[in-house]
Amino acid sequence: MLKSTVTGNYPKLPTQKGDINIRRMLHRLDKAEIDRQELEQAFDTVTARVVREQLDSGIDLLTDGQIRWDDIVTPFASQADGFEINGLIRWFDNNVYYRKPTVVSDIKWRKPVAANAFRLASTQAGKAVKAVLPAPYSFMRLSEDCYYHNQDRLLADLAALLRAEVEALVEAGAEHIQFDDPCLQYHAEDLPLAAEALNSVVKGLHATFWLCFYFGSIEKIAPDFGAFDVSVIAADCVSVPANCEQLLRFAHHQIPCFGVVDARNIKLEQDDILRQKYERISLLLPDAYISTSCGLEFLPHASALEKIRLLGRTVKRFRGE
Amino acid sequence: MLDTTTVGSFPKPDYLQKARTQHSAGKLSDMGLHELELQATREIIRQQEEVGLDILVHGEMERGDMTTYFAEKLVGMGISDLVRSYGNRYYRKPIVADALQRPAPMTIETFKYAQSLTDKPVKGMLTGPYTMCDWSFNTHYETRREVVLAFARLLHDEVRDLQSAGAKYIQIDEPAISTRPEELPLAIEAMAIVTEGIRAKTISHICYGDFRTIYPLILELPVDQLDLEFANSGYVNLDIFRTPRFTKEIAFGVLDIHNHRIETVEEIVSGIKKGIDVFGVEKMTIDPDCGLKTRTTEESFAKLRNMVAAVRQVKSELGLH
Repeated sequence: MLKSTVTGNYPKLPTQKGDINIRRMLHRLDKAEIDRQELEQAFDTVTARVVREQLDSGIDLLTDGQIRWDDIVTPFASQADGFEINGLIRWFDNNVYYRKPTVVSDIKWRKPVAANAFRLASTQAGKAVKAVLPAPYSFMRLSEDCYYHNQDRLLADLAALLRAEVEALVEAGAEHIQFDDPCLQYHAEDLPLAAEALNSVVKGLHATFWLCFYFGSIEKIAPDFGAFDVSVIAADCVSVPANCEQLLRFAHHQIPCFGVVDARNIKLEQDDILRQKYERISLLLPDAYISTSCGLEFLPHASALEKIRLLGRTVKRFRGE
Repeated sequence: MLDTTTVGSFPKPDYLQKARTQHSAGKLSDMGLHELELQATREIIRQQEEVGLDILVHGEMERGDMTTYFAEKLVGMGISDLVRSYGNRYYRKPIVADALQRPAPMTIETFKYAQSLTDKPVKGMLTGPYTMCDWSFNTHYETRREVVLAFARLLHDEVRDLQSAGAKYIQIDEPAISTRPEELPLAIEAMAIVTEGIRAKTISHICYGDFRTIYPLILELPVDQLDLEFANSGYVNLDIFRTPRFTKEIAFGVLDIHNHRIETVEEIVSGIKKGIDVFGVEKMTIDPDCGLKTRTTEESFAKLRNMVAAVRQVKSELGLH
């Protein structure tokens, strides 16, 4: 059966006037007009709105929208021992930037980062919510190592940090946990290393684990998807349409997730074009997910909402609901 | 030789920030806002002269964003709601929604006004065709190539008009050019259209990308001078340009514009000397890494004062006075 999901983040700012505006709240915190607790409440309110919008749009498997995060690595780096957060770096091929974590001492997990937002979203949703984490390999690639100077040891400590996160998520009830590994596509030669690290994160833990790729071509890594102990492989099939074929060809032992709704352009896909894609996928595969091509935060809120409505509607129609 | 300049934008004074907010809310007329933009332009020209810069900019007091400003002037473009750029910074992303046309010159009046205020040369400032495409949504053209070349044709007309208005230096910024190295030939093809037959010195500013992926092909970009950041990376990216030999003029970034810290004269001198070692003194202009609009006016001029002092010291040491 085809199911719909989203990739991860969601626009923080609302279209509707009067709704909580995180940008304004952060400015007010800077000016000491509100305290940290009021900001946390605002984050929770926006997370609840994001969950409601996904539910109302008919998305089968939701995320919490990553409303507290600037990107997928700095929330974890800033809450752990061993990192400093440094200069702005472009986020892949987007006009979006992130502050690069720099490893300056031994990496050590201190407290759960993702579990609270997951718990809140899960309670709001009343159905399965997918938690999202960086894969250890991309965490390493998106950071600057000024301490370990030894890739194996660095990767092992990042994997240990993420395993602690996963344990906290599983304890909080997470049934679906996605690892984003957008750097691996550009360094296919490191796949054994990336797989070993990720497998050490999930070993013996019980959840449906996902591995997610966006922005680039999966051509060089797809033949070795079997090396990862995950149940679902997700790929951006908009930035690189050929990724769709790669998923159809190589995701033998895993359920594929096809990112066919463009999360980086406001142009809305036509229903009949999507339907043709769904037909082809469902002819070849009994079970698959359909998703946005990447996180939705590249879009203004109104467009993101249109995209998830389209996604939820077309998948439901295809299932005959 | 070792002329000093800046990349383009300066922070807007408080009265102009407030006026822009009032204008957006319909509480200030176009004329009222324009008068204040001219006032801020007069002030920034005077401040640049006082600090001793050689080649001035008009400061972009009339521009909110380097792509949105042009999107508002062109036929065929719209503006989206806010999307996040990094941290808590957001911008309104342009939308290519129809066939692009330039109904009238976009920068000539401001250039002429700024140039009338000083005997020093003022740069004409534009955003390049590749960046205009890359930083816009596109709902009209079938391919990115069509969008880039459509921008190139109308930007050529603007460059020609700037030259006719007396601009001796015309900067066509392409900060997005390092985003997709595989599209660099397209960016080069587009810039060839923009600068075709132009006698003024042409410059292109590129930032926040991995220069390794575009060097040495970037030397084929049809401009006289490349303006690149170096301070942000602690000058470690200099080595990229040693081999093969850098064949263009270089505007060499020595101030990290995303850092509040004021670089000392000594460290800027050290940076310039590192640059001379790679590029040769006769090819170098000295400037900040990027536009200064994210800093305060006080920070901007404290940084520039030290930059000018550092250049004077280096010139003195080299007997260049």
